Amino acid sequence: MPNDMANDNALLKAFSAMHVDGAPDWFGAVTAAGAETFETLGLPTNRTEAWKYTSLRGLGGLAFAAPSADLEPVEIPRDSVADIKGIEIVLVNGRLDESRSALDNLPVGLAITPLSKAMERDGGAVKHALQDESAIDGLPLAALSTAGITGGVLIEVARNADIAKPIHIISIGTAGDEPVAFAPRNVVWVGANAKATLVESHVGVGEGSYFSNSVTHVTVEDEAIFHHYKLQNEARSAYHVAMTHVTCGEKVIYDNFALSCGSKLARNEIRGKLDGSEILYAVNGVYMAAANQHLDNTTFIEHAKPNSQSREIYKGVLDENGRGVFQGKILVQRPAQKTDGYQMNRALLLSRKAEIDSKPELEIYADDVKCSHGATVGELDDNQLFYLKARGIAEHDARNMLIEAYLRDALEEIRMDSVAQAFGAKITDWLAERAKREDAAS
Amino acid sequence: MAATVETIEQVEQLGTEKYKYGFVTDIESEMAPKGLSEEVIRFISAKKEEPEWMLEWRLKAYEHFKTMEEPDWAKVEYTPIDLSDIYYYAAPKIKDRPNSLDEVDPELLRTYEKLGIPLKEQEVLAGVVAVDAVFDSVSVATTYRKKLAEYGVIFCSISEAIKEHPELVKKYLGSVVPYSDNYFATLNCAVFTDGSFVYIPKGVRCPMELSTYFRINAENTGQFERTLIIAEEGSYVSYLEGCTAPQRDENQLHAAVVELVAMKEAEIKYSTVQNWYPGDDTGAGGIYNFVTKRGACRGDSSKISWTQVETGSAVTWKYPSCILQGDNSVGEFYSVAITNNAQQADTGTKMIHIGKNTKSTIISKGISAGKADNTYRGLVKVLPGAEGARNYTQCDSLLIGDQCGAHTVPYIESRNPSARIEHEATTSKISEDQLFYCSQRGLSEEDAVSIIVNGFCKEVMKELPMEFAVEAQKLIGISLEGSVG
Amino acid sequence: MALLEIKNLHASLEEEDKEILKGIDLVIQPGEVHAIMGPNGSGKSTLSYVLAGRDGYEVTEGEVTFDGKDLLELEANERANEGVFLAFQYPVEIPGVPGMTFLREALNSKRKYHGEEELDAMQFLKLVREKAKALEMGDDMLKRAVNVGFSGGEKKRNEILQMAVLEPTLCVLDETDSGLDIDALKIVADGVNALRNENRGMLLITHYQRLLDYIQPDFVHVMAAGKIQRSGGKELALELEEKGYADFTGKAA
Repeated sequence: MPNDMANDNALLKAFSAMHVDGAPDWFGAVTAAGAETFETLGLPTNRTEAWKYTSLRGLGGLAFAAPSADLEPVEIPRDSVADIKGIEIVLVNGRLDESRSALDNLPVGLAITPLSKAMERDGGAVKHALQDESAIDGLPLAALSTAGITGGVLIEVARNADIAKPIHIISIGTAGDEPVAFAPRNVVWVGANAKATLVESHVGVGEGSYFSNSVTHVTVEDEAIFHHYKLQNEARSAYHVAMTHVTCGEKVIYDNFALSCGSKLARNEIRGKLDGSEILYAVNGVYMAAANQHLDNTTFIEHAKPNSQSREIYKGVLDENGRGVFQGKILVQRPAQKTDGYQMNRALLLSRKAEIDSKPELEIYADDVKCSHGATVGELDDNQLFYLKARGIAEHDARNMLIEAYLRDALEEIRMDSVAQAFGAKITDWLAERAKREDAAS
Repeated sequence: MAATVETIEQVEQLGTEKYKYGFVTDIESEMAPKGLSEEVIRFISAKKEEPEWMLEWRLKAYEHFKTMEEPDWAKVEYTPIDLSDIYYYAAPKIKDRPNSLDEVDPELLRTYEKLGIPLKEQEVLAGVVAVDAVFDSVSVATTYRKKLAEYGVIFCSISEAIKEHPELVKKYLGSVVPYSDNYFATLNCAVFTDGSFVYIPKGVRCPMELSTYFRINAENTGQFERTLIIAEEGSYVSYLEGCTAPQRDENQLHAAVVELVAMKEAEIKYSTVQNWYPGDDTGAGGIYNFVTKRGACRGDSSKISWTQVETGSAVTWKYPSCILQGDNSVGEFYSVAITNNAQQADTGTKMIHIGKNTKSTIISKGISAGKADNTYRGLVKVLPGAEGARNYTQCDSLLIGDQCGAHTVPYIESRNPSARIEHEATTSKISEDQLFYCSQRGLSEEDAVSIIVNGFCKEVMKELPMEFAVEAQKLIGISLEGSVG
Repeated sequence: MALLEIKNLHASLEEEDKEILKGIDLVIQPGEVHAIMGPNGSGKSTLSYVLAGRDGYEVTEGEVTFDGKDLLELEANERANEGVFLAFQYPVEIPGVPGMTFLREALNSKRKYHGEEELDAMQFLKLVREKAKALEMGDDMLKRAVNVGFSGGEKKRNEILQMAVLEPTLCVLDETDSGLDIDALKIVADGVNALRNENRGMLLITHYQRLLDYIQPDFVHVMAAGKIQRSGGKELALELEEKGYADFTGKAA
């Protein structure tokens, strides 16, 4: 349809307008390939199977512009950001704020380099990641992001290094009168036998809209341990689309936890390639949607080699006319015998107008595997509710207690206490806000 | 030594006995001109001496069909069908439809005898099952009609129903699967040739199992049957469907539509054993089985239960569904799908919860062997008004050998906070321990696989009527021959 | 003619190049009950698997003659139909397959193998009920799926029931006493003793002497490091009970 095409072009223009200072020649080819792939695929509609439940039509109606060349002088909205003491990297509208980012005096074994500088070094992890065609093939939004990379960092953890302090990327979107679109790009490389933790906070300042369309590449080398946690707490009128590509080597432990509560529309997509044996791979999360929010978690796990394990548990609550989407796919390739995969999505609808759409999927080509998935949608457990009431707790309070317990239980999957606490605080905030709404209504 | 002899015997058996329904009946057929056109549709309608409204409906569907594209979302790959290269009508040459079984062409009777289908009322299953036999495009015989009529039950071919009970057909045909529903269903609306019609009046419990037996015989023909079952308030019927086709190198299209309507407190139990010719082990030949089956639980506390054992066809694309409109209505789907060699199946169900306290159960067992792919695809949808809706889904896949694939694609959509949906799926294989245990007790490997797979499918098999269950169990064993060792 | 004759049997796991049986010699005459005792890892269970024809083991040397036939040439199911029965240490669960159906398939396989008429459901039911009664197994247990949800004792009783129905000429009982309390052990032992006769040979594989209080063997063999180290009468079992396997393994067991 011509209308769609016009929207596609406008978006592409907003993203193509950006560029990275001092980028080498090959970078031009990368962004051009991104633009071309996006042009071929177009903005996905509900007819695209991978976007069946998430329509990006709303994006078309907004005229996005590239953020200004100068950094917006914004305060870090500490209330929204995950409250942890970490090594901070600050991005404003997708551009690296070097003055507020810890680029020097880092622990031994950790290097953080602005993307533009890392590109100049050439031939390293950045070039490898950006030139990886499979990172955009059939993925229209990742391609769009590639067409207009705004900025970001390369995080390198040296072999055998053990970085105790979490690295904390704070991505701030400014919601002003003119909605901006930006494309953060971070590349993470964790050397063999190293250990590190990355936390991402995606937040916004101001009212109004913006569109964050990020891509993150994570490579975890043999026997390394990498914890990866993400808080999506964008401004409530913002659009957040994030693609994370993870590649794991032999005996890697990778665990991801995503807490989503912000934005008007969010799609958190994690694609993991388990390219080694004896990997423990976990992707977990919590999503909490209220009025006019649409939160999509999409995961893809590819078992390419034998004897690895993947675990996935997502839990959601949908209030008011909030909508949750969960799409999870486990692909077990023929050589990946003895794969052990488990996947679960649980959702609670708290309102008559809320909706959950769930599509857990298995695609299996190896015969000696143990794979299972499940999905539940439902109410709170009647027995538990009755038990609490029988102990004298009012129905309303009993419900809230059980909802909180249901959500907090998911935090058990986070292996770092300080992060679990910081994320727990966001759950408490969300429930408090909900309680306020209920009070106002009654 | 002994092993070699056994292997040779097995191989010999595979060649001849694997698909024992692969024979062709030598009977003269009357065909419509090849290809799809308005003329062909008019030809079919005229052959059937249909009233004008039926022809108009067909032509309306055909007009719509011309705007449609063949769907490609299923996880199946096949050579596209050349619709212009198919005969849409093939009928054994008989002067008039016989009034009694004595007048049926003995060659046809022999065919059904060979297939194990009793068309003579005095045979073993006498009094238990009434049969409508559909041969290529036409119904050739329906047994026990008189006895059923005593109960007010109408069981006849749909062609007869169009002529003799137009008010019922007009009211219900296309009311569950509209003419514009999907590519293959719309094609069926335009060119359907025959099928069964069942009407169970209010409060009647149908005194015997009703059964249709479909047989594709002629070359280059498509079979487009249409079945319509109506169960009035408080009635009950159990309906069985079986199908076979000769062994041919070409692919043949089977695009059926089945519509079920259950009124208040009525129950329809629909069982299928699908054993169309699956093609040879290289993937040559076999039936394309693209079927739309849907039931509407219109009345409160009505129930529709689908049970299917799918072992045949080269490609299967089939999602027997339930629209749960009435409050407290119940939908069930029990399925065993076996794919071996180069077979592909993409099958499952849709449960649409509309009424209050509606319940659905889905039990799917997929078995994949050889180089086959087996996909479960299902939708559970709860609309905002479906207060207290419940669904339980269990999908288990079994892989035999390391060249096949098993896939599970459930869609779960809920818009009611009081609804509860549970979905579980597992994938596993037959363990070495189980195989060794069975062979230590004297079972051959093939028998061991057969018994273990039957155990795996038990929850579904127990839903089949007795008359079908034994046959289906054997079929599972036969379908998996050559899959191990 | 001996019922079973094992000569210089060497076997290893196919996947690992590790020899487990390092030259076993054993002769069982019809009517005899032999016990093989040995510490964990001595190769006792491997011997039972090699006799039953389990995949994954490679016989590298030696021969086994059963009833005058070369046993190693036969497939596992052919050995079973010839009359070799293995009572499993860990009986396998087969979900969805009723125990009766399974056992009838097994019996009819054997009957077919010997060119006999297959039993119909009624004849079979009568036969099984008779045998089950002696083992205190009710109909409900027979209807349940093979070993699914059975306690340890029920599983072992079920093995003995199968043995009673299939009437093998050689019974190999692999650690049949493991996981049984004293009452269950008695029932199982009575079941086994009832099957002793002049034509049938038995090979009991066990770690503990306890079983041999209830099933008295004619011969006892001590196995360690893949070889039969010593053979004797039932008094050998008592000696082992007292001294342990230390003499054979070089360490206390």
